[in-house]
Amino acid sequence: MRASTTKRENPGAAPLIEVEQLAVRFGAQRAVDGVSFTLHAGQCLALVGESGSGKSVTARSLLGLSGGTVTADRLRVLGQDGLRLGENGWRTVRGAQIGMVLQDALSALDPLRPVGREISDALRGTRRAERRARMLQMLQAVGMDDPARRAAQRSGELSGGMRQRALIAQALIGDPQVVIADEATTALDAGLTALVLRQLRELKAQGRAVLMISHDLAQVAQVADRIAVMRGGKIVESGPAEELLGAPRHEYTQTLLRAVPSGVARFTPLAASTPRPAPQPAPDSAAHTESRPEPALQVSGLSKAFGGQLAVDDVSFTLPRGATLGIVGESGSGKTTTARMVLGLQRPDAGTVRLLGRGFVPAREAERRPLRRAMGAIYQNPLGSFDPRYTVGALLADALTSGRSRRLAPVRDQVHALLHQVQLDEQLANRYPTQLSGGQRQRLAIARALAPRPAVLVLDEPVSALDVSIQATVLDLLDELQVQTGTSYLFISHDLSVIEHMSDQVAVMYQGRFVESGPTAEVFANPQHPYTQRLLSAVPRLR
Amino acid sequence: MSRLAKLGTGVFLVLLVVLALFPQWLAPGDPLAVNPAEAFQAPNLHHVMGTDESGRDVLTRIVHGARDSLFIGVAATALGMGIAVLLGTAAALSPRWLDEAILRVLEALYAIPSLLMALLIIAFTGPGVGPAIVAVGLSTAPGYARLVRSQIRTLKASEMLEAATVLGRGTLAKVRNHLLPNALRPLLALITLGVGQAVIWASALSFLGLGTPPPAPEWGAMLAAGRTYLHLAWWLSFFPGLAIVVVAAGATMIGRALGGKVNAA
Repeated sequence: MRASTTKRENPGAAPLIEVEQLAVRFGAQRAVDGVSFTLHAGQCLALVGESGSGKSVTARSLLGLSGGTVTADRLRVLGQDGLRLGENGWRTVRGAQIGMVLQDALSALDPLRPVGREISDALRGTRRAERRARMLQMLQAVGMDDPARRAAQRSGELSGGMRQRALIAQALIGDPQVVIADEATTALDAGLTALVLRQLRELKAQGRAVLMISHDLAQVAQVADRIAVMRGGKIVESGPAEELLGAPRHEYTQTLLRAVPSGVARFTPLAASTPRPAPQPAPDSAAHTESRPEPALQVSGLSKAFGGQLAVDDVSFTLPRGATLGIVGESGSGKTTTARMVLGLQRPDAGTVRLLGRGFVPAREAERRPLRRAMGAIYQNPLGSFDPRYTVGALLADALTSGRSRRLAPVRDQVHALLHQVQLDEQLANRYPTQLSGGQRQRLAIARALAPRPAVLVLDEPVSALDVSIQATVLDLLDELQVQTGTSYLFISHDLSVIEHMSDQVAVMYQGRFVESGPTAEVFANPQHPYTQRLLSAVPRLR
Repeated sequence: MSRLAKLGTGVFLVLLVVLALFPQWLAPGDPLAVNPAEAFQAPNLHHVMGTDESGRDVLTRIVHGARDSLFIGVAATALGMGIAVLLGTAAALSPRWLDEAILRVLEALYAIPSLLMALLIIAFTGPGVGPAIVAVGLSTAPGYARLVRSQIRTLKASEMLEAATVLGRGTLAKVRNHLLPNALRPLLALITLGVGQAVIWASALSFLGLGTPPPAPEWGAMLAAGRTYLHLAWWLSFFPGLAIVVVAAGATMIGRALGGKVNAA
């Protein structure tokens, strides 16, 4: 182990990483094609792009882990020629010289080993006692409370935030000069994201170089000094962060920036390609309310405890017709349990749900069934909600015929109409959901939910698994469909900017309670509850 | 699995079906035709697998015997699986006390070795093709039932089923359209393996004189009959035994190929 003081004395010296004309091929396919950049000590470079743009492969080739055929004019990693490093050479680079914070904290940690052991693995060759001391010190440094106890726990016993901290500790324990953060904040809620971003800034301040990989420009803006936008394996635009975010030159960068929903008014399209919906009066206008007096949903006093602990505590709200109520909160705040109770999938301990004025919860499933058509659900991971044996056409035929038939022929026109409505190609009717992209799957889920013409859609984290640019098109679609069909949305998300963009009314959920609710603009402009204030201040913002 | 192995498995499957359905194509002779003058001939050009103590052609008998052996194997597996689907589905969808009750019964049955249970059943019903099917079928059912139950329970908790509930599907529609097809598909490989096992058990019962009555050509029965002359005419036992081994191994190969396909999907 080299002394950590000497290597950071001279941040202005030669770059730690130099890449010129890097190309990575998988067979005939070029995943990375002519990428060049340099990374200096104390600096953060962000590679931004959609999934499949080659950003992860680029980062992995700095560790000799790309898995493809790597060629480059120059690939220098901390003074070594990466093109000549063998497997043994790369092993001295990984962990010790370049650390990597992995994306999925749940699957990146071995569920059967204590996290302390997972973290200290990188210190092979050091004495046991020293290894443990360093590990505990590192856990402390990443803000883990009671490190000794945490180190003995397995990943399943840790919360999402603790796991993410453990991953950061794992990446840093070898005292690397370069840290790669590959989508390290994806799928984290606002509080955790802020924490990780703060950690990354700290690393920079310590004189380490950070290579941040993300599809989220708003987060990148918090940390990066330079940004390189990737698409199709190439860097389409790169430059200093403020310059690139303030005055993007490339059309694709502009698209990405527009796709960020924070601070964009309701019903304003986020994706350039989406046709602008015809301007219409606000959907919850008086006209609707007068002709159909019953609100879409009336929820009162919903409560649910798991093992003596209240998961949802006296939640009440009214969802008017054609309007959107956004429920925002961190993971574990009780959002999903609320959604499941509203959908009649989980029996509440107390409280009622009325759908279009009729009792929906509590009720027997048989009594509920005739009302089911009036309420649909969209999940974060739509793939799990499709029967894998059915084609897209069969899934929609099933939904259109209330489960009586899965044959496409008798309902072909209606299936095609649904596909058009969610902007999917008719040709996809013969595909299986596994053959669709993430955005296409979510569109299919929306089409299926809309087939029985529901009055209410419950959307539980509908865009959380999608890239920002795909998310933008799905959000635009939901907006457009709401204007067309007058469907009410109960929109649940941990992402404040998405909630702000989509909701007429917003409710902030914290430890099972609605701590604050009201018109979206009011809550966001003037939050009353301290938790809301804290949450809002943690949101990375572009505008 | 390699291409060659897949091709081999396919050819084997076709051959088996042809054997079972059209034995006269491969062995035009009469499997029961007695010809004492030609008794105990070692394998030769005229009788490729030799002749038995009554001068019957062993090859002809094996080919014709395929129908009985395979039929018992397939029918017994179908019966066992049928019972298993009913019991397993009922257990998985029942309230907890009924689920527990069914489980305890299944566990009790599972504790008795299958072949022993088959023998018990035959002891009640008497020997024959029908009883052999029932015996093997019933004795395999508890194992399958437990698998079906666990599959359905896993699926019951899936988002797919939740989505079906939200779309307003009734229990029957969920079972028919989602639960059963998805529960049985991964079991397909296991069922094929089970057919091979059932063929062995059926032969074992016949070997003990509890399956197909003589002189009908059945592999297990032939094996038993040849045992008496083992020192004199090895081919009487060797070829029926080989047939059983090949079918069981073949079923295993097909099962593995199917398993690979299911896993890949």
